Order: sequence, then structure tokens, then C-alpha cells
Amino acid sequence: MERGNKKNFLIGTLVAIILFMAVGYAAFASALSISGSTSITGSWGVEFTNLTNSKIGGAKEEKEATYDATSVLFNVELNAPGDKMTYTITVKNTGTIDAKLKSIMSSDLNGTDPIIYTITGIKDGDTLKAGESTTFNVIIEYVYSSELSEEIFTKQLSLSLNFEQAA
Amino acid sequence: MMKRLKIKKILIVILIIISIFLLAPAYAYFNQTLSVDGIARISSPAFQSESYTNLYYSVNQYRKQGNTYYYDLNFTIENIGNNPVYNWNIIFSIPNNATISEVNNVAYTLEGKKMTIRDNSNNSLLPGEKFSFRILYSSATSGVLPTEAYVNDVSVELEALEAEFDDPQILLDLQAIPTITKKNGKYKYNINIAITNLNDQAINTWEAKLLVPTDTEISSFQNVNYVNKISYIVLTNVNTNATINPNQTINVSIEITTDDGNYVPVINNIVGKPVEMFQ
Repeated sequence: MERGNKKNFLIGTLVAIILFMAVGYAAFASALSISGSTSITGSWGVEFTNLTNSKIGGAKEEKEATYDATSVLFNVELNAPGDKMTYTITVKNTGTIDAKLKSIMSSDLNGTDPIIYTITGIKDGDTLKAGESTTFNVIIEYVYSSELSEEIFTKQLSLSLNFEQAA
Repeated sequence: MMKRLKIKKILIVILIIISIFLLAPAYAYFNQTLSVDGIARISSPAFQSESYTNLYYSVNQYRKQGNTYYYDLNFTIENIGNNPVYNWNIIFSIPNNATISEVNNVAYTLEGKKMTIRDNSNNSLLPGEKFSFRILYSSATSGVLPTEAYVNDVSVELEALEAEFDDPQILLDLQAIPTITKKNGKYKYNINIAITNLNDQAINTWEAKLLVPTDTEISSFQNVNYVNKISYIVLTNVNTNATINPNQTINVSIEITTDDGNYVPVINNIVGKPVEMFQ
């Protein structure tokens, strides 16, 4: 009987702790919203909103580049050294909480291959305030390489932009 | 007792898991990863491994004045490939520490002896098209003309260089002997000019432009007609030396007076033909 009471007490205590944590979490979430936004009810959203390109030389799109809120896809054909394709991509903070670019991760930038990817206009630590937009460029260029070989006639790019709530 | 402890441990684990589940959505909610993915492909890689342009130049003038050599070169780039050449640049060597006096139609940078030429207008060079530009420079080094060049980093041969350089059309031996005797406060120079025709064909009439100070007055002349312009004198043949046969040399002279005590005579061309001038 005494053991049953203790058990009940223990369960009651745990339930109380869980309730306490739930309240704590709610308080924490609310605090994030207030600090990150002028709105009472905070919302989070960073997304691609536009995509344009400019071409130099014989660069062209094998398939028209596409984008949605979270991804951009391109497929470019280059013909001769000096050919260049520049994609200008717009990122907008559609939420009410300021965002910060925590990190940029990429499969391959610069390098000595004849196909060179360069990212300009954006860097780690950049802040994107609520409601604001920014643009950055993905430049794909064909440069002459004396070490040209069959294996490097195509080159992929995988770029990740990791945004988090600004402090 | 053991059973109680076991229950306690299980409850703690459950509690931790619940906490993680509660916190994880909050973390995910305030993070976003955007991705850019793509592929680029070179469509005709073999094309760029070989030269697809011709580059050649002619020597408008190569002359020596004092200890300085003057180079006046006309370059032409020609697209001999089947594809347009975009944003071309040309790299070649000129004498170290050369002084560029004039460059037409193109932009350039000079690092030591490495000269980089870029198309000023960003126009493409279509198959079969040519583009010309001119470079004038001077240097204390003689006879250093570009022999190798790179167009968009691809090595190209420079054509028809040495032949024109080694085979000037007219050899001009220009000697100004300043008597340095001031006459009425002016310096007097006796300028002897020897013109040698190195062409295969005879020159039938000739004309030369002698650069002089603006205050120049002509005191005497021999075997030549002249017209005194403001900054130069136009010299023309007389009947007896109108024809200059291949390898023949004629001599004329003119005497001038000027306030300039450091005058050095210069003739850039004769009958529109480039000259190689030694003094």
C-alpha cells in the first residue's frame, strides 16, 4: 500500500515536471518570437523569390533554370573559354523574425578546373531582416585549363544556404 | 528496492525523450536550408585545346633615337575557328621596362614585360572576323618583338614578324651635326640625310617629314626641296634624286637654326613607307 502511494507520488511529480517544461517551452518560444519580430505573433520564413540570368559568350541553358521556395536548379552549357553564365537569385525573409545566414556549404567552388563556380553577394553571418530581400550571384565560367581532361567536361554544384534565427 | 530504481530510471529516460521531442520542433521551426543545385557542361572541349585564332602584326616603324628604340606595331587578330570568340584577351612580351606611348582600340595592362590586351568594346569576334589595334612603345632594349602570344590563354603563333622587322623597306641614316655655334642667339644644325631603298622595286618620287622645333628657320639646303611647316619640314626630291633604285642610297642635307639646343632630328616615314632609322 505504502509502495503504491510512493508510486503515485512519483508519477504525479513527473507529470508536474512535464507540465512545467511545457510551460517553459511555451515561454521560450514566445520569447524568440518577440525578440525576432515586431509582430506579436512571430513567423519564420526564408525563401527564394526570384531568379534571373545573364550570359556572356556562348553560354546557354540546356534546360531553363527553375526555382521554388527552397531550391534552385540549373543546367548550363558552355562552349568556349570566356563563356560565362551568371544567375542572380533573390532570397526574401517572408517571416517576421530576422534571419541570419549561419553557413554556406558547397560541393565545389573556384578550383582550377575549366568550369569554375563562384558565389558572390552573400556570405556567412549576413543578416536578412524580416520582410527584406537580398540577392546573390552564382557565376559559372569556362576558363582555359592546360590540364583539361575528359573527366572534367561536366561539373556539378550543390550549394546549401543555412539560415537560422538572428540573435 | 531494485524494481523501484528501475522504474525511476525508465521514467527519467521517458522524461528526456519527451523533452527532446518538445524542443526539436522549436529548433526546426527557426531554421531553413535553401539549396542551389546544377550542372555545367562544356559542349565542345576539343575546340579549345587548339588554336582557333590567328594573330599577326606588322612593324609600322622600328627606329633608334639616341639610346632609345621606338616600336610601332599594328596587330591583327583573326578568328579562324567555327565559333565566336568572346571576351578575348592577348598576352605577349615586350621589352622589360618599356614605356607605352600609345595604344589604340584596346585596353591594356603592363606588368614588367608581360602585356595584356583586352577588347575595349566586349564585342565578340565572329568566325572569319578580324580586329586590329596599334601599340607604340619605346625601350632601351633593341629588337625585342613579340614572338609568342596567348589568346584567351591558348598559345597562338605570331605571324609575319621577323621578316618585316629584319627587312625594313627604307633604311634612313639621319645625322644632325649641330655646329652649336650660336648665330643671332640661335643654334645651327647641319642635318645630313642618307636614304637607302631596300625594296625590290625602285622608288620614283619621295617625300619625308622632318620633325623640327616650331621656331625653326632654314638657312641652307642641298639636293632637296622643302616646305617649312610649323613643327616639321616636308622634304621632297629634286629631279636628280627622284628615283632611288633598289639598294641605292641618296644623300641630301639641310641646315636649320633654332633656339632649341637639344634638338634631335626625327623622320617617321618616307613616301608613306616605314623606315628603320639609325643615327
